[in-house]
Amino acid sequence: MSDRLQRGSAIALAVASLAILIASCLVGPANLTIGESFGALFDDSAAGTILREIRLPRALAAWLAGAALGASGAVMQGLLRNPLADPGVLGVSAMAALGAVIAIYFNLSTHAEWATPAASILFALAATAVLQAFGAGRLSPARLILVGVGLSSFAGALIALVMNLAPNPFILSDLVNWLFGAVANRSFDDIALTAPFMGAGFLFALFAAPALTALSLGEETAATLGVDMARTRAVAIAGAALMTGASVALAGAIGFVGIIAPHLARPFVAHDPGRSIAPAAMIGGAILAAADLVIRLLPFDQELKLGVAAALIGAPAFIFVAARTQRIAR
Amino acid sequence: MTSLSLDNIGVRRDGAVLLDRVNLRASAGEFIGILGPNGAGKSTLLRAIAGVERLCAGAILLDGADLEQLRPTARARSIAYLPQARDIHWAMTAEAVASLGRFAYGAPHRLGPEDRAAVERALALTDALPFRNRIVTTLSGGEQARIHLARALAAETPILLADEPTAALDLRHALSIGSVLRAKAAGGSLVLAAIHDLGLAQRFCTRIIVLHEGRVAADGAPGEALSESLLAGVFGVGVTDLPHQQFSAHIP
Repeated sequence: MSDRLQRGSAIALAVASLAILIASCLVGPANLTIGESFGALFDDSAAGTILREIRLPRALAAWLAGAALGASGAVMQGLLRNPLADPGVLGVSAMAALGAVIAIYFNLSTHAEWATPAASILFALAATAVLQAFGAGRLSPARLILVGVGLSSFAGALIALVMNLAPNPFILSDLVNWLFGAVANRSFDDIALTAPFMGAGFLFALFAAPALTALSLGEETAATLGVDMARTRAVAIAGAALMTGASVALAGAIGFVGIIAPHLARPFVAHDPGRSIAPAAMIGGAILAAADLVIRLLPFDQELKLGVAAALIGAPAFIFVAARTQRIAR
Repeated sequence: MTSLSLDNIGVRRDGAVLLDRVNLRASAGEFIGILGPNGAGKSTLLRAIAGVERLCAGAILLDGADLEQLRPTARARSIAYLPQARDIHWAMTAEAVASLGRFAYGAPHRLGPEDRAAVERALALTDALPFRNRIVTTLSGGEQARIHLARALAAETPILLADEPTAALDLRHALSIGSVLRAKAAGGSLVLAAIHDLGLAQRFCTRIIVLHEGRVAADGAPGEALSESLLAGVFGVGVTDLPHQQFSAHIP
């Protein structure tokens, strides 16, 4: 693809992603025509309240969570040079989920509405600190994955323990619902709490991006090309962890977007792992915004959870990627 | 004038001694062939100079400064390294891979005109222009080897380390790469290459170092270093067994 074509497709991607975000705001159970919805964004009617207080934050939350997972997945795949790495591979998402689960268990949100996402972010940061303390910057991909698997299992066991100890079925149901992943009833406060961490993580990711491109030739060659490997790993891991943790805090545990989005982004950037981060964010955001749109249109009494919908679509896509990618075992 | 000096360097891995008290002085203009049987330490020596192998003893000095003190970018601007393992993990184009040679001068997809010109020269030297836009993973082994060499040449560093640069190449390209490396040395660079083909080494190198069990067994001009007794002692072959015997004699 020529440079010009690539730039054009990158712009098209961003426009399409934003279009899906806007479409997601315009559709919902309240029967507003698209024209009404658009006008209502800016007036004081009931429709305006619906749009600004319910649909916009919900659509934005889905888009942001997807974008953060997509970018984070692109960073992890570039760093580990493995097309099947995902944001969960470091164990940060499991730890973030554990934080939320503990907050729900102790009913902290009755004291402060932001307690659940805040606990989630805190645990994600703690997990990142643990990874860095274990010298994540010095670890080879295989060992990093092993540490991540350990961290995930540990967090998973503690989540099971909390659920085991749940004092009543209501809390248990809250826990399960949260773990499924959803963006229903998200407010701008939730977004304001999590978005800065996503933004910071994204900046870290962009900072590590050129080194990720050099890493295509392996770590040793990258080092001889002038890449500071220890710093690159530390920055990339911090960036991926911040975005993943913030995404889990905002929308719960949502799988597969982080694997699929970078994969779909790669053809747009000639398979350059360093340049796939921003397109992966656009695609991840579009996938979750679209998935949430579909959920709201489905005629079920019980609304389908976003995480469930993402897995229903994502798991077959995952199998497709795994079967088609030739160079996985690395 | 580039000068490289290895002072009594040693490398161990898991208790095994890979390099033992190796001394070497080399300067710009030399094309040094590093020879030796499998396991002699050829790759380890190049890896040590490239900075990807930790020394357990001694020091490597580049123009009098300890290499370990150099920042990664500064080191990359002085030394280019073509490793033996040549992985490419993503389906990038050949040109994109070669462009990574300019990494120490700017982000991979924001190369300046000078960088582009250097990449262009390197692709031409390695005869890689015809497949510059192909996806590297679809290229043959020899074509991939040339792209990797183009990547190392594109850095246009005063020192080039090449581990088996001709291993996967057909005869025509092996000979042409041999002269490319020789010309690079003649142009004022220092080239060190681990080479298996004694004939090629004798034909192109200005100096030959023979390693044996991690130590320097011989060091000298191509005609002198590969004596009959050395070949018997180090490689375990008599001269009559050498496939290139007829063409190794007295060719500069």
